[in-house]
Amino acid sequence: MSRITALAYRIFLQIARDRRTLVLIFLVPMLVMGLLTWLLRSEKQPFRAAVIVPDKGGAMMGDLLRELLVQNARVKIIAGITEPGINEALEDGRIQAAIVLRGADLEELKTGKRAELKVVLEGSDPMSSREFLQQLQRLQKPLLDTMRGLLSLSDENAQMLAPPELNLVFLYGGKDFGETDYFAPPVICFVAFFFVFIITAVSFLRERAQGTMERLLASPLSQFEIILGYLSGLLLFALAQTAVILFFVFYLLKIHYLGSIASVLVVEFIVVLGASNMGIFFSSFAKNEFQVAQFIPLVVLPQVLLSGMLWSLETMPKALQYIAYALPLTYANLALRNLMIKGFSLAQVLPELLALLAFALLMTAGSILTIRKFGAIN
Amino acid sequence: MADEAIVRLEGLKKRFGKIEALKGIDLEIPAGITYGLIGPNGSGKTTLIRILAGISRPSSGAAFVLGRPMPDRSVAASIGYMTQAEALYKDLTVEENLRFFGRIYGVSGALLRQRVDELLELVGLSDRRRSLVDEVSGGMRRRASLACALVHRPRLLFLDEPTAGVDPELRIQFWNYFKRLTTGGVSILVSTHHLDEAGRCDRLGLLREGELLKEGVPEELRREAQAETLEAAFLYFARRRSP
Repeated sequence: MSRITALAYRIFLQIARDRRTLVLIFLVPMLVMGLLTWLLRSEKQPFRAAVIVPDKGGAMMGDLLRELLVQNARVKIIAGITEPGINEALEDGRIQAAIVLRGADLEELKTGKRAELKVVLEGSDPMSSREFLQQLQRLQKPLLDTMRGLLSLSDENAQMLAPPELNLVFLYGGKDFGETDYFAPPVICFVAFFFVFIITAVSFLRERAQGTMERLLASPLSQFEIILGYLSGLLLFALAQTAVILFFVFYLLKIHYLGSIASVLVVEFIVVLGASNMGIFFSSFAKNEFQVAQFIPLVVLPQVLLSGMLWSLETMPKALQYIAYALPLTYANLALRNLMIKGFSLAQVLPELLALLAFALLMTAGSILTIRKFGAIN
Repeated sequence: MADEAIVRLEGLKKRFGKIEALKGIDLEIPAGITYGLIGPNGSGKTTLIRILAGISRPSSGAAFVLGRPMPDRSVAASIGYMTQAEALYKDLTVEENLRFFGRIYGVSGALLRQRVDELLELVGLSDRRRSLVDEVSGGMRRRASLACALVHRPRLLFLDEPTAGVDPELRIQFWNYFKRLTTGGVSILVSTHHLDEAGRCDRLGLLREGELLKEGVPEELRREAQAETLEAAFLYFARRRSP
């Protein structure tokens, strides 16, 4: 018995002495649960839509539709968008969908003509598109009922009033784009980021622990060469990994994608550049492999929750969006989704690429500092 | 060049926070000899060697190696450095370790192959060259570690306690290697806390608590202290310094 307590006491001492573990044991669950609750409990940002009625006679039905959308569906009506301006407004994100109502003249409807409801969707987030369409379907019945009331049609004539014809147009994606198409791009860069970060952090840590770092520092290698050497060695595996994932995802899982594989690899390259330097930088805050493992919840979890991987940025509360825009994977996800779902060119995702590059440079500065520090302090 | 000092220290100080690890050391080491840095653990031997190897920066004063103030990467290729720890990649073979260290010093191709063969022969690891470092004995790792410090044919060798924790037989072997190297024109600075090894050095520096107590030829040191052994001489100089 006393032998068991000796062992238990020793383990208690060791964990109690490792302050970081203590902090993490209690802090990480709270951090994760807190973030999750915030994400799940907070009111989703409403879906932004415009309702455009080109012909005068349809104004009444248009107003009714807007009212129903605001009251019964979580939709925010954006005014001031005209039919020729729809694509522009969808592209710059002012709206996520536009509804164009045609042939809704009351007199014509009485004769049994059907109105046309053209819905133009931004479409890169299949889930919110689908949610919006479902809400729109649900509104058909109250819309018709109210119309019948307004037109004070007799029962017989009421049957004549047919639901409007629904006509879907997608700016990006399409009807057959699903969740997997939406999740594939972030998963691709998340895997590479995670893999490279952990491997670099652990191998750099080992370099220090086994004393080979001393030899490297005494050699003619410059700090820059050390970083470049690490990067090149890892890059081979990271890019090969990406290539395999892409092949698997595109050819075996049949994920929809537009754009070129080469541009996906360019984004991956910058992500890996940042991740490997982050690994070197963060390794200086870890004394052993165990402490590297502790980075996982701190570095990885917030990015999984907030980078737009699972929750689209647009639906997040504003405060969380600010945090999200401080995370590197947010930009990687934006860039890859634009490339793969919207078929953008690299030039069109330049802002995201620059943000990723800035992160990579920041981490490179950190890793150079880290390598210098080994010499100066030890 | 032979008569020029390969290492020159001028008022060399190193501080780590409040602790002063080196308290102003002046020293000149001539070329072509084996210089022994003697002192107990924590006396500043490793700190001094790390500064000379260009890894650590002096807090004040200066350390010159081959006439260049350290740290200076341009002399790195002339220095061979064997750390106290084995400092090898355990998941690589003995030969792969040697090749790696050779290549980061710019040795490659046929020359590298030839040097690796020679060195494996010298340290008696030819038949274990394809073994993972993880799988060979502690003594073999020590020998491999020494070989790694030699692949680029340095003029100068800094050895930080190469024989600490090494069995007597291998210790004798190591000192025989050192002898062969100095005969070949290599200058060696070796730190140790084994006083029985100190007698095999051409000159000695006695280091204690960051101060150079005494410096000179072993025989003279012993005579000056009127001591039978170097051990007694060390104690004599240590006592004289701190009354």
